[in-house]
Amino acid sequence: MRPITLLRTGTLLLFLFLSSCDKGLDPSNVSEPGFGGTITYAGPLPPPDSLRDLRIVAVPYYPIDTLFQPLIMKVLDGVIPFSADIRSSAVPGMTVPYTMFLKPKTYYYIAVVQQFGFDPFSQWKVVGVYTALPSDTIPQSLRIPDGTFVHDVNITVDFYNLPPQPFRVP
Amino acid sequence: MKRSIHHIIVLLLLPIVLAAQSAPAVKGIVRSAEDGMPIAGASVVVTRTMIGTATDADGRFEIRSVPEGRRTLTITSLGHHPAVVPFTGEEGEEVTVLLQPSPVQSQTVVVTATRREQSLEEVPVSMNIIGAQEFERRNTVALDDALRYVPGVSFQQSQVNIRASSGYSRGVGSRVLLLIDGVPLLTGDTGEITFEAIPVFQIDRVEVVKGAGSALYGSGALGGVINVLTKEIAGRPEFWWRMYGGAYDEPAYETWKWSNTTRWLNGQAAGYSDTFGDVGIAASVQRLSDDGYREQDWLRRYNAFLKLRYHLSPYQSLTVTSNLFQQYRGDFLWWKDLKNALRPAESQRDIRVSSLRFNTSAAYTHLLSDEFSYQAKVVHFRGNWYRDSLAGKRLDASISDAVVADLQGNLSVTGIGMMTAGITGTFDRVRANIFGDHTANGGALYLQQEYQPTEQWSAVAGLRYDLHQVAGLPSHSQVTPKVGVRYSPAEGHTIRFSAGSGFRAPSIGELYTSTRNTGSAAIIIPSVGLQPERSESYEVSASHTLSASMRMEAALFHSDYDGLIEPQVQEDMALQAVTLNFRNITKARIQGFELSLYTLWFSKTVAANAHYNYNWGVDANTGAFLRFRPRHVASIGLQYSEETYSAGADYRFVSRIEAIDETLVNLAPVTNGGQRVANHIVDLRCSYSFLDAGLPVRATMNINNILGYNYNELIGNMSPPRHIVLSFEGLIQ
Repeated sequence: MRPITLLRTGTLLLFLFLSSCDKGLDPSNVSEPGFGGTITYAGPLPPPDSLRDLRIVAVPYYPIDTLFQPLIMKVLDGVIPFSADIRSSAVPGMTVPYTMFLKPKTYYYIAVVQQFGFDPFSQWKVVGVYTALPSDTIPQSLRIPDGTFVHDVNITVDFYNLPPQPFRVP
Repeated sequence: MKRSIHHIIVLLLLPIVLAAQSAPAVKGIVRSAEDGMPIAGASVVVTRTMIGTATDADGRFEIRSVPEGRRTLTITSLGHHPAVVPFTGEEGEEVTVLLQPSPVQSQTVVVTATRREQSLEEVPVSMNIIGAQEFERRNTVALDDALRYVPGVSFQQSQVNIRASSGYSRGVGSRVLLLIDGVPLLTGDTGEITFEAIPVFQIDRVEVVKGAGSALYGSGALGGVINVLTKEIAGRPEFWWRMYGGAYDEPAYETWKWSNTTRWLNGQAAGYSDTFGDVGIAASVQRLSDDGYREQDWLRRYNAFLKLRYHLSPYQSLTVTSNLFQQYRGDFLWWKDLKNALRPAESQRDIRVSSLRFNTSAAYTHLLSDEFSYQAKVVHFRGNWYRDSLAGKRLDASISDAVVADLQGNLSVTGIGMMTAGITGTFDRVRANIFGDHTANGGALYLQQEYQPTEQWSAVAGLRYDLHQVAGLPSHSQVTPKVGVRYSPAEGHTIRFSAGSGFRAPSIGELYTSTRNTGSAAIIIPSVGLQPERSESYEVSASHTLSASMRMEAALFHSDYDGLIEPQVQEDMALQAVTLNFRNITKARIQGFELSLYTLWFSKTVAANAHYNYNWGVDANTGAFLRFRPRHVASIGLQYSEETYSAGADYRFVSRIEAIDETLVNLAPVTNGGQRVANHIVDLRCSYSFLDAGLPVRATMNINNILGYNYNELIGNMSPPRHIVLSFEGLIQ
């Protein structure tokens, strides 16, 4: 076999071998990081004048015993991600799906919060929390790995049977 | 044209020419003993003097001032046995030197392993060499591109790993020491290697020593040493030029497309070298412009290089080398996300980085007798870089100076061997908005004794004491020993054992970085309590020449690392922010082996080689695999060469990085930063020389990553796609 023939053959074999491999990184292999599941509305809705806003928040630390005001500032700063207003999907007795896309990290407190008064900077309360068990009220942390969408993050909202409120009264 | 260029340069250098002295001359030609072909680039030195030159493209040499009493020449060339030949010194004499080819570099003369010249087969540690020819074949424009093909070497983008020693620390601190002509060249502020500042067209060869090397070279030589040796100054007028241009292929996926125009790269370089009596000069300039295959990843780069050598006498020489490097580039730290893999994260948008680096070194060598010589070296390396927004807002800036002075003596004692001793001093000064204003000082004493009782056996032992202090912080001292034994039962067969220590003092960047503006949401906080990190390396290796055209090398290695400095990212509840600092946290163990096979076929027109390196690196406390280290690194190379035509192919494989810093990915954040794959890269090349047609020009075409494999060496950073480069180079002598 002549050298140039050997070179051509070797190159061809290498090319064929490597052509059979995948093409490496593929953008379709990743999901936008986030979580989703259902919200079950147990019990009646509050009157419209006390249901001024309804959102899902994902707090990247335990906000237990935290003053409310710094917390709302973190929401405004984007440290605590929140969903769009979900009042339109709130129907008593119904279970509705939701999704939320955010940065991959661990969120220690995921909750549905209701604005019950005029003041958007202070008049909020927690009406549902993501917990390990549906009957439980202990917050369950959730890790969102990079490029992963986590399913089955289900929350029950009961406007007249509230979970423990995390905020400390100043 | 050719004469005109020479005349212009000679006129410019007239004062030097006039200063030159006339003396007896010797000229001749160096050929291969195997086929009679001339050998270009061979080093020809009047034995036991500083007088020498390199052969031209026709294998010819001329030494114009031969000292009285010296009538032998020592000739060395990559891939050949060294030769010592006599000459008479009579007028008109032309010496013909025939060099015996050595089986695949085994007899190549190297200088890094023991700080003196010896053949590769004699050194007691594993070494690899990259010759200038390999740079030309691959059209290498940056040193790191060539190092990727060295067995056991891998990269995390621009950070080099020798046998998985380094991991990744975002460019702050290097566990591999870079030398230029034997002098350390790490930046004064971050202690990192700036590969792009190396003038690749002036490289004669690169020597890579694996394992801890601090016993000779001090701080930084934790995982190995890379020594860049610049070309010899030509004995006769020599003008070379090079032009190249190319383009990147379209992105593989529609979602990655960010530009409607072809992304181009091009570069030009030219140089001149000559000797005028006792004065030799080599000078070159080069320019590179790259549009970049990623958005905001463009660069413009300029280099100017000057080397002056003056023979004060046949036994004394002074060499002064200067290198100026200027670069402007866009800032691209990591991608926006995998769907936008060729766009930077929003936080890096519209930011550019400008850098100006300048290093000057002077080396004085004196052969006092046949037994004793000494060399004094001093180098100053200035780095000046800044990041600013396109709107002109200055973000980060640093000016650093690093000075290293070294005095080394070599004494050869009959019956005992070679003794090497030296003293080194270092001084660093940094003025930066992110590092603060700081100075650091260091000093070291080193001693090495080689002993060769028989041709078959040799041993070396060395010890170095280093004292290092950053102003305002406690000083640190380190004692780093090494031993090595070589046994060669027959020519071409060598077994080696070596053990050595390494250490690295933390850089000013690691100690004092403090910023809220690093292109990420993380706050970097100072880490002034850092201690030097240490390593102990052990290696058993063997090389066997199976035939005149086949050579095999194998090495088993084991390294223990203590107090490795690693960046720590965490969420600070008090600051309500992500913080990053450096800590001595990791106690690690890295073990592995390396296999290499070099072969020559079909009257040596075809060279084929294969390398495999296995690394097992674990955290000694947790047992977890070390972050940013590949387990498998392999490569296969094939090269066909004849006088006018050559072609070749390389395949490189790096296994998927098993462990990364998940916290950094999640908190920085590097969206989709966990996405990584094994690297499969195939490069093709071919070249043609027009010399037969009377044109001293060679054309080369390289197609890199021809399979268009989408891979990343570093989290959040897509490596170059398929790209083609066409280059033309010429040599006028």
